[in-house]
Amino acid sequence: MDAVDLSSDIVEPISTYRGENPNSVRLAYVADVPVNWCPELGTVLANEEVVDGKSEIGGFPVVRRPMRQWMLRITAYAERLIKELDDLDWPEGIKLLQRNWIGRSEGAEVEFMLDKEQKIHVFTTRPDTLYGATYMVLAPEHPLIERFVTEEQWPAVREYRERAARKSDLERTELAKEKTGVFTGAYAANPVNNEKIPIWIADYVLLGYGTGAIMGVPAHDERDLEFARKFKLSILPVVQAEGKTSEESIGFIGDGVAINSPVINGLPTQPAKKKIIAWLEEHNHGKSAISYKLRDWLFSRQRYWGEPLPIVWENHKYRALDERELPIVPPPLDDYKPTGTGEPPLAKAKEWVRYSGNALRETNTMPQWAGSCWYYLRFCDPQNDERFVGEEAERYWMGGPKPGGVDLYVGGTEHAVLHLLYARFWHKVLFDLGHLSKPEPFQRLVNQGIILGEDNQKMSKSRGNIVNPDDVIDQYGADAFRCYEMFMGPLEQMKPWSMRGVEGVARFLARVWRLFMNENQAGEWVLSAKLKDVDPDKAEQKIMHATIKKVTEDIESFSFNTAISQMMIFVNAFTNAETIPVSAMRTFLILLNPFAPHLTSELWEKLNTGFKAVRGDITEQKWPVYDEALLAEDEIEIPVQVNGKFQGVLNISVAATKEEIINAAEKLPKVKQRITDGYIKVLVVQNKVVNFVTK
Amino acid sequence: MSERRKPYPFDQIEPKWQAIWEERQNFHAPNPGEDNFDPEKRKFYILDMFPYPSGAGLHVGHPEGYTATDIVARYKRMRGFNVLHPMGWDAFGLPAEQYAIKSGQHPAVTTRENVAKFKSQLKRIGFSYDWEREINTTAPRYFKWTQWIFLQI
Repeated sequence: MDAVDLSSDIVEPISTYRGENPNSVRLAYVADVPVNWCPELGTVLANEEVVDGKSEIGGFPVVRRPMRQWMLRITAYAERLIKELDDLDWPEGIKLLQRNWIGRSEGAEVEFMLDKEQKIHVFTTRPDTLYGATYMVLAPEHPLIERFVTEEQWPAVREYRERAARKSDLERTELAKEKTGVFTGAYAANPVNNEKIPIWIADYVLLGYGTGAIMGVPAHDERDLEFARKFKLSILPVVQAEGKTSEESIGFIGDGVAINSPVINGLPTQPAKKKIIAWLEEHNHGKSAISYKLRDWLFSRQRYWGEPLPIVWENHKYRALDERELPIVPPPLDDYKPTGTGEPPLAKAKEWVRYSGNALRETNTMPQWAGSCWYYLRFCDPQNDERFVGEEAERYWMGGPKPGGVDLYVGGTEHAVLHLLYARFWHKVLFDLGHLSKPEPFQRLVNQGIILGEDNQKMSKSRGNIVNPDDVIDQYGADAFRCYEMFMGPLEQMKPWSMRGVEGVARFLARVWRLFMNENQAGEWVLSAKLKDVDPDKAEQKIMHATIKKVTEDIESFSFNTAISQMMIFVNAFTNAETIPVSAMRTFLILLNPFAPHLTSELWEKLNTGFKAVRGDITEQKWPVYDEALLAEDEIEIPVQVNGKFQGVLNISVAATKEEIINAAEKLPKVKQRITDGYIKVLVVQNKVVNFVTK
Repeated sequence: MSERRKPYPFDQIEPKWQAIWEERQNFHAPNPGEDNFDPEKRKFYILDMFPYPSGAGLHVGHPEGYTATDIVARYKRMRGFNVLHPMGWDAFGLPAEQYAIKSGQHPAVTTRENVAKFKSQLKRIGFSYDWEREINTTAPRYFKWTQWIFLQI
């Protein structure tokens, strides 16, 4: 791939580029790269779409194969994609997944001299172990190999390369039980001591990672040690573990003290790294460097059902189609299936492909992630045909004091390193180009948990445990369905479906209905005679305000299940009441409305027909506010005695004075009878007991 | 009683209110510049991960998150926010094409059918989406801008 100057974050768009080499200015570029080819799906896949060596969709085997592809230089944004996660309100687990996927590590890039001209670049996080580098390993596909492999070793190297090409990355790395490799016959000079070390190729080194070459330090790396022991390569300890001899330090991978390393002998690992990097820089053999695990994003697919790339090829060069030619609509194709050869199906539409006398259209399509990379922006202004999103609409909906525009984003965790990473990347590019007002798309992210079948297993056709929402709604209604989905448990948790649970919630909603409605003899639902236009009493006010408080706080904190529990308590408190105050019921309907919007809309309307109407339907009402003063425990019960014998209980305000307590206690019927002749004294133990002493 | 009695008449109430909401456009979020835009109101943008409309239709996992966001959307509106709560269809890509191949139809046809099915299922649950903002990633009017963004990148 061509070198690109990324010193500036803004890269010239191809749409305005008129130079010779568009690959050098854009974040999108064309490259011959080893890709994840999935024969079954007939297309290549991005690294993010390959799980354990298989396609994420369908679980089909994936192999490596070099192909000419479109790539997006997401690696240019690696640093910002990590750093700018900090100010987002996302679950820590998702942030960690993104950070690990991007995989930043600090170390040094070191040059090993092959001959006077040719160098091999290696990235290492442990430059302090350079003296212990006793061999090098290159990925079998490394382009330099052909230049230096000896004639003798060529057949073995060629055969090994062919075998490696048929394996997936996973088979080559994690799954490989035994290390394999072939000596190339060539040697490179270790820059710190000029010693010649043998160059091997092995498939556990991947071209796509780092520089595609590693230095082997068998004394302090497990994989290298295994490899060196198998192929009888020399092993030199260069880091001494505390309390161990140098010989015992073989296999030690932690921090220790440098030994057998003239430039840094005696230094602990961290300062040793710094000093050796300074030495490398001074002698022009390397420099400090940061490496990322993140690879550029493979952006083309050999499938029909995707956005065609707005590109034409002429004389082996590509150029962008004019903006005015967009959209480029895929040609109608009866046989749109993958060709199996890697040639995209769009190539079958010969007339469509021929753009002009000399120019042919690009026939790859975009991956499925393209459309979801920016849809949240289009929602702000979906009818705009002049711009992808109007500036004013974007500033308004994506605005606010935080870096992210969308205030709340809810979805599953399965998109942690796919959609959520790609969308952030596009967003930052568009932000840098001046098209957007905020650097991040999604400020707050909440993940819902997976719903399991009644059998506690993942729902699947083969298990026959799938629940169809339509069936549930037919039987219990949409409001019961909604409330049950929320009542199952905390939103983020994985939890099993239960039809009995749905029934329970449906019964709750039926109880709500019957607080308001009675069935008359004709079988019609009419407003309950218990509903009265009266003020709620103290106890009723208290539960009403407690419910407002709880539901409000629970919605804010996403604890929907406990909000429903509180509303159940509220309904129970009124179920057997003789008189039901309409005002309290109106407040309750508003609280329940977000959960059960149909039921509450209907009851709101019914109340308006039977009582003084409130303006507007329920969706137009203001959310109620609670009064903290009404929540306090304001009355206490004090047992009252005469001569130490219990006579009754006094209910009185906590704020009552001693005088008021005595006055009230005297009036209790049983007490009154026993103190008709007066009393000698009265003991009042504040809030605990009142005792009258007679004679 | 001749027929099995429902605990309350949700089967009448629910379609009734869904029709009223659609007619009154209670959940339309006005953009700046629109007639009923109120600059005093603060905005709140609540987004669901839009589904790719598979042939199997909605399963109970989809509406879990959608119900949570709908509760917050309705709550925030009553708290006086201008709430953007939209829905759309992520309909290009491998899953859609695999499904079309299996069912022996053109992906444009299966996508249209699946979107219609998903939409009617979501409407039955009474979500307060601003349906005027519905988008479909396979509509030329939409992917024109996906292609445009590619040219900026």
